[in-house]
Amino acid sequence: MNAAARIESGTKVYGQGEAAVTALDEVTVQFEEGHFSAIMGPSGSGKSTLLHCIAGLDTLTSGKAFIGDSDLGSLKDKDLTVLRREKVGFIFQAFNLVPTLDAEENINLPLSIAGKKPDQDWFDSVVSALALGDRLDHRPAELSGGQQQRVAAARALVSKPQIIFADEPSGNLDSHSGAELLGFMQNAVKELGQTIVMVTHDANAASYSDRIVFLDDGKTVDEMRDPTPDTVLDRLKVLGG
Amino acid sequence: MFKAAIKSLLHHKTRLALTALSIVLGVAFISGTFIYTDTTSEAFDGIFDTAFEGIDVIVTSDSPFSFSQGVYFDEEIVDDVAGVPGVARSTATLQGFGVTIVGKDGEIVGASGPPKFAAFIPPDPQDWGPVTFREGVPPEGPDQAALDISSAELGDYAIGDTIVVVSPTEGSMEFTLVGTTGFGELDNLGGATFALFDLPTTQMVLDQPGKVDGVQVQAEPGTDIDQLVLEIQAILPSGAIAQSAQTAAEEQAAEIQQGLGFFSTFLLVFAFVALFVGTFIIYNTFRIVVVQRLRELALMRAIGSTRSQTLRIVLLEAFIVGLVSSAIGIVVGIGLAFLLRAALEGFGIALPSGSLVLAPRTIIVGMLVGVGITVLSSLLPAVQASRIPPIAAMSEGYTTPTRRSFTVRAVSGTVITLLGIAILLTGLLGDIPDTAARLTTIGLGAVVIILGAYVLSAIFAIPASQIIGAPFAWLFGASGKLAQRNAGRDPRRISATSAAIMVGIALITLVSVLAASISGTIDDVLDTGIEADLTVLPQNTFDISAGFSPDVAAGIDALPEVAATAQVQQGPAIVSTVAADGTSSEEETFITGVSDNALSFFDVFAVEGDAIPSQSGIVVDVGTAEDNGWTVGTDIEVLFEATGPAVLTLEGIVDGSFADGYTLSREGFVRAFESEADAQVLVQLAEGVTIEEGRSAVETVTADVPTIQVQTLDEFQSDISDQINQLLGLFTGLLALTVLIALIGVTNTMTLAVYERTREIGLLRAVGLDRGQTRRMILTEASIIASFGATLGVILGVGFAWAILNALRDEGFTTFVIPIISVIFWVAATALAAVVFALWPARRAARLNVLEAIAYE
Repeated sequence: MNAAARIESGTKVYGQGEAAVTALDEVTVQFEEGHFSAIMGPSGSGKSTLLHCIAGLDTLTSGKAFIGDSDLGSLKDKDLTVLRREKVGFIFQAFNLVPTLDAEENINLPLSIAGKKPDQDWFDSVVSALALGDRLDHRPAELSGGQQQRVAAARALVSKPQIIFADEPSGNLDSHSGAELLGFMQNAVKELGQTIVMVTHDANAASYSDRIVFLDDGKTVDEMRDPTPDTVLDRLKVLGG
Repeated sequence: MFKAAIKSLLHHKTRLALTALSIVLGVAFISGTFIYTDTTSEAFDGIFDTAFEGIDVIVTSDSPFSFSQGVYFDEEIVDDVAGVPGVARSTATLQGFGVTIVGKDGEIVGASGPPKFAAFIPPDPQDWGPVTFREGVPPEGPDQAALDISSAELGDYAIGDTIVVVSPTEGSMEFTLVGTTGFGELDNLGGATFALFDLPTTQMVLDQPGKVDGVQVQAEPGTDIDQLVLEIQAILPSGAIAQSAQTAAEEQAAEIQQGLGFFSTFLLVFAFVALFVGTFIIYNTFRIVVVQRLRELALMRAIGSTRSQTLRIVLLEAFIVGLVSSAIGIVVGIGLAFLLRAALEGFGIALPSGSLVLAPRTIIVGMLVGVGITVLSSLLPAVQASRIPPIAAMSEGYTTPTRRSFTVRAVSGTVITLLGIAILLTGLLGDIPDTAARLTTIGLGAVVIILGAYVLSAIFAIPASQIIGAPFAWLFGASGKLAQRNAGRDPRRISATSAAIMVGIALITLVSVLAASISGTIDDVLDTGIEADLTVLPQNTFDISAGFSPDVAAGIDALPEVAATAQVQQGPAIVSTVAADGTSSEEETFITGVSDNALSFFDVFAVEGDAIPSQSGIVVDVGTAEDNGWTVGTDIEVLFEATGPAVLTLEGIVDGSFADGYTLSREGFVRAFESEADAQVLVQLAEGVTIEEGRSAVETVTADVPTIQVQTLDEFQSDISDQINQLLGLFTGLLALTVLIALIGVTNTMTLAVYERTREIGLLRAVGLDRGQTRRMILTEASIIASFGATLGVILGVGFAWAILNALRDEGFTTFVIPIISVIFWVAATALAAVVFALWPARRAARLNVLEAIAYE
């Protein structure tokens, strides 16, 4: 099994001297291609830092992070940007969309930044899978929260990235919309072979994944394959989360 | 509260410093102008006060002419005045203009603007008035002359040298330089040149044998001067007036200052423009500061500060900014007054070197204007700040509710614009006799129209930014498209930002169109109106009204290369005109005298009667005849300075591209003006003679009159265009400065935009916008906003110019030319300059830490 992304002895320290906080402490973890992985942990466990560092949004204090074969630490800002544009998709918890662009323009944004033409067939199938067909000419302000997150998911998918990072994608959604979005993400992995890494603190959301990595105090403390909501909750209790 | 205001100001210091720049500049121009005016006025007052020491009464001509050519009296007037009881001594005065000094290098001495005088300098120092001898002695006899020190230096002449002086009627003459003079401590008077002689020589040079133009009187000790003035007045011939030396000194000082007053007016207008632009910038900055401090202000409300306290905090800040920048402005104004003096001296105009006068009035007005404008401009943002509810401190997405509907804007904007147009038209077409009041009305109309355009511009901001942004979107792809969308995002903000740019560009366009149209009109008239190969005329405007000897025309006419010459004379006269309602008024105008063959040179034809009158008649153009209700046979009353009132019969009404104003026959002109001097001679060359051959032949005749230029019509025309363009350059240079101030607004707005869109920029960076693209996105948006303002400015400027030229149609401005290339240049230059002004916010956007940006709330 190839790793779509991995981190080796990753350490991230914020601040200096007495105020220094170690967010990641010698973490080594990898995320396999074609899998839906989740990172869980209590607040301050370093799960968001892990995502940011492995997605090329933040840099490690020491250790190495890779997307595919690319060593993120060796890349300049320009190359890192191109890597994010071409190989990475993002779904954030909120504020995913550019308010001046309509849904279609938002979906095609990474392609248009790169100066590339969208693959119309692929675009159509992504849009229909996410049921966004009649919302394409709407501005984000005219979309519901669920629709906005689906547009973000479509944007992440449309450039056919090597890996998609999602940071609490359903965190701001009601349970129905959240389930819809997570179900779609699950399908993207199963049916389209997409790779997704998601950070969440919600056991229910995590249960959509194939594998959960548990983090606490900046260290990987456990992992679980094929989770269900109940097994996740049980494990969290054991971990004292 | 004061402490809080200071702290908050320090926090926003860069932005406020940039904003304050417009106030600093405006106040600097106001105070600089005042300082300069006060300084020169004190110095000139001083000179003329001491100048007439020892002289008690002055007799001069009482000419109703503003373009006086000089009124002369018989020499006996001096003895007559001497005979009045109480007069101890009396001395003649005599001076006239149009007498040119030629330097050692053969070039004319002095700039082409100021007059060139010949004057009598009495032998006795107590009669010298304001004149002091720097070197040498007063001239005596027909071979001696003195010069003012500036002219001597410019002409490279030393005492004992032979100097060349050219008189309108006598041509070139040589004298021995025996003295150099100054005016008190001044080297010259406003750049005018003076050639000084004894009385008979002055009379000869000015072609006024046996004449003087006034008398200086010294009273016997203990005489009542006011009484003496009355007694002298009683024996004077008509046209002469006696004044106390005190009054005369004040009048002369005022006259010279008025001559230099052009600069003051010009600078005050510019100060006004800078401050007007400043109001938009300050308004916008304070709005921005309020938005940025939204939560802070809301928090203060939440912990118990009242609405009026919030209002006062913002106003207090504005007050402090206004106070500091006005104070700096006054200091800069002192520097400006120094610069102004240096610049004028660079033009050869000597100014008193005394210390600068900083009157309390300068400081008070500067402070009041600077602080007043700053506080007024911040009033609306302050009200907005006071309306922020305490809840805004807690909720994340709160934005200030300024969403008044566009309908209100459209209606109020239209009403304001129409009101402005009405005021402008009243100023242009209305019956306002006073020029200053007329200009003020026109200016007020323009200001109101600009305000209306500003209110309306928000409505057009979205579609306009789409259109202007389209090429950028095409050129730069995603970043261009994002910029295009962003530019139209907040119509009110883009309109406030671009309004300042609009004002500057509107004025630049206005002067450019006016200049091009005036050049175009002259082009047209010369192209279609004159049939001549060469034109012969003096370089200097004052010399044109002094004219040159008719021998020149005779000499040219005698050349075998020349087929024909036409002589044109010109001089001032006061005409009794009749208004539409039948009331008559006196109007000073220039009257032309033409030789009989003029019709074959000019495109002028008679509509009624004759095109060229007899010596007791006059012709006018169709427009003048219509305005006054004159028909052929009407008697017209005309006052000539030299010969007094006359009644001339209207013998013809003419039309054609060169028909303008009042025309006399040559004989009639010579009789009325007692002068044969020509203002211009037009030359048609014989068949087969090339222009160059003709020119060198004509130049042999004009060789010893270096004041005269021989030009083709094209050269003549490009000379005029050059002069217009020089003036245009001066205006646009200063106005470009206001556009630069206006662009500071772009920096402010883009900084705020980057601040507000931190998360969005972070998102864009996360999904792949690189730093270069981010920078380009911000720079392009700045460019679009600036282009929007510049485009509005061009529209307004062209509109203003069109209105003004239409109002001047009767004055002969028939051509309307839009200098497309220079207009495009200004829009493009503004758009490019905006890029420079947006570099800092663009850099900030590009450098945003992606992670912090998305984590930013």
